[in-house]
Amino acid sequence: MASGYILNRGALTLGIHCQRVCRNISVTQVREKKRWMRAYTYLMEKKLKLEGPPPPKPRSQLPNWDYHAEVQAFSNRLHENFSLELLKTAFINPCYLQAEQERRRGLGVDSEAAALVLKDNIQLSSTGAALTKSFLTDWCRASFPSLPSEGVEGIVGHLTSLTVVAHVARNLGVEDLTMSAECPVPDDVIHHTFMAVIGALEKSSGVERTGYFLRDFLATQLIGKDLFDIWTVVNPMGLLVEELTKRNIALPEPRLIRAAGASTVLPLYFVGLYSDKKLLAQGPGETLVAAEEEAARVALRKIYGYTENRRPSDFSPPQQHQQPLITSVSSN
Amino acid sequence: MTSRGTPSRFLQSVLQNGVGRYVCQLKRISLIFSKKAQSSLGVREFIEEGVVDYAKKNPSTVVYVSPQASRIPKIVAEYLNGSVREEIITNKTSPQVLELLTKLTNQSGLDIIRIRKPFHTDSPSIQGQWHPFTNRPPSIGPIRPQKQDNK
Amino acid sequence: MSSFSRSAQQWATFARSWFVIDARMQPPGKIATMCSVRLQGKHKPIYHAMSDCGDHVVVINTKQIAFSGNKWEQKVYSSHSGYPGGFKQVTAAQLHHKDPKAIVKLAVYGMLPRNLHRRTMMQRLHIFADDELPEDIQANLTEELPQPREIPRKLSEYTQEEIDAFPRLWTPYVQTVCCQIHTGGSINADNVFTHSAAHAHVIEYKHKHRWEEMNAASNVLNHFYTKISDYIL
Repeated sequence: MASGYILNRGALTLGIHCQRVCRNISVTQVREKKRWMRAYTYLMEKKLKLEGPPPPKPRSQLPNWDYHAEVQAFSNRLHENFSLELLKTAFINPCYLQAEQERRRGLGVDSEAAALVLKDNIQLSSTGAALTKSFLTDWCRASFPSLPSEGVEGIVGHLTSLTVVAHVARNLGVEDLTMSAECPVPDDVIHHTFMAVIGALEKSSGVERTGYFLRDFLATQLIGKDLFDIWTVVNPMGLLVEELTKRNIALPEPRLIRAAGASTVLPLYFVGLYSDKKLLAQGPGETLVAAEEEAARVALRKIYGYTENRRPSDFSPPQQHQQPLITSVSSN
Repeated sequence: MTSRGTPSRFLQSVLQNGVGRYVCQLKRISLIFSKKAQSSLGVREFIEEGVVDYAKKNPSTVVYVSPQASRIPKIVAEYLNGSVREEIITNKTSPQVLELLTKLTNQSGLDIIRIRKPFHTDSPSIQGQWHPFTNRPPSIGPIRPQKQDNK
Repeated sequence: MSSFSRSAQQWATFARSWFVIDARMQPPGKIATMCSVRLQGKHKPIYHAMSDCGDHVVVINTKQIAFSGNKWEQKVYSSHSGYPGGFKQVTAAQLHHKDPKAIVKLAVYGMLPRNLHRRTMMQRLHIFADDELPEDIQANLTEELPQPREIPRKLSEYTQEEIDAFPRLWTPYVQTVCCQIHTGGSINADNVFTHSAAHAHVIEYKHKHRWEEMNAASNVLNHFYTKISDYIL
């Protein structure tokens, strides 16, 4: 040992690289420029460039993960009383079960000795989807009483569509908890899981609470959306004529109200729809046809009560809303 | 750098949070510290005193305490929208750690960048947006105004 | 409230309007103020210096603009060609004679901000010397702006009745009499009073009767004045 130290010191003072010396004596710590580092990082960068970034891992395989605690926190976060067993069932997708069984078979685990005793969420999901559809239809009918059934269908279809539900579910932390075969959970699986969560909520807290849940998380997605962004109407003028004949109002007459820059490449036309010499609606447009269509859309919005300045929907919490009213009346 | 050059966003919330009910956006928090190091003294103190109270107060957040052989203790906060924030708490005292945790709990997880205006709305006008013919009567008869040339 | 679709609303908000101003008998400065405000878009609630939101302005009848005072002769438009001896100065009258659009154009150009948008904004200004507009510009027009100044009527535009009904305080004959008296010497306060009273009498009389009877009235006044002058002297 001592001789090694001396040798080392001697080598250092002589200015010779001490790598050979170090190989013999493992205890010695060498402080020098790590010359192998540059080649190593270069190699790793090249590898990254060729292979791309590593595939994302599910959160459950990363450190700091306690499934039970996570599920409990999920329940608390939404201010709902889920029964945890149902909630855990709701997160198990059939695709996960299949993949898991195949994996076990591949590993050679005896299916009888260690059976996979898990229920999948198909039933919960179907009840949840049915409930969602019926509740949202009722809610739309109540909030927009003059909207026809096609319009209600359009809104409900938008709210229960794959993209909207997947967006809501991702932002509520469902993705981490979902048991799925693929790692970035695909949209349809997450949609399925969210419907199952709704089904689980209905079973554990009843229909009314589920209604409030759906109102708070799905119906709020309507805020700031335009009616015809959600519900595609190809021929608004035809629809307007239908609506007016239903209500026994004279048919609309399009009239050019205003125009600016008609002979330029940026013209603006305002078309007004008159029925019985009263202005129903007016709409701007780049061409006369577009302006007329826009005016028809504006008239439809007015008829259906979906204008931009309508009264906002009521999203207030159920019980807390009524109690202050009573107290304020009694105090007065 | 001028403020125009920095990245910016509008004031927003995740999923219209707070319209129906308020959902705490912090889903998971990990306290990573060393059992021996001097720099983790405050964190160890906090774990002895305050972490249980914190976890009880915030049932919607999962708190993980993981001792590791690291000289730099840190808090890793994960939010519902998928963003992860790491805060280094070297040499922080126990109240300072608690303060930081409270701050992280109240945040939404959206990018912390310049916010263009302290208010935002999806429908920017109550009266309807202005256009050149606002508050003008519709022109009667011919579309363009007649010039009074031939007096 | 409108509640248009977003794209239609955007199109409507940022569309350019076309204004017409009739410059007949208007001061060019006031016309130019109105033009420069609209060319910059400062009359819009959506105005922002960074957004190009100016409108088009059509000015007609610039041949008949009206300068006040002695500006046609006194106002000088100078230019320098850049060569030695290239300094030119013309009066407003000369410039207007050469190009009837130039005065309004220069006035507007001077009122626009000195930046890179200036030439673009000038391209949106359409000036016509008389009231003939081409078809394509006439199709674009949105609104006519009110004239900044009420056009004064010439004497030839008044009817004879209006001229007759106009109250007159003075007649040339009475004036000469007054002058005579004033040159005669100083007048006491009492005399001044009687003097003005005599005037009032004449005017009243004149209004009652026609011009033929004026002689009689002036004779009366003459008599009166001779009496006064006696008194003074």
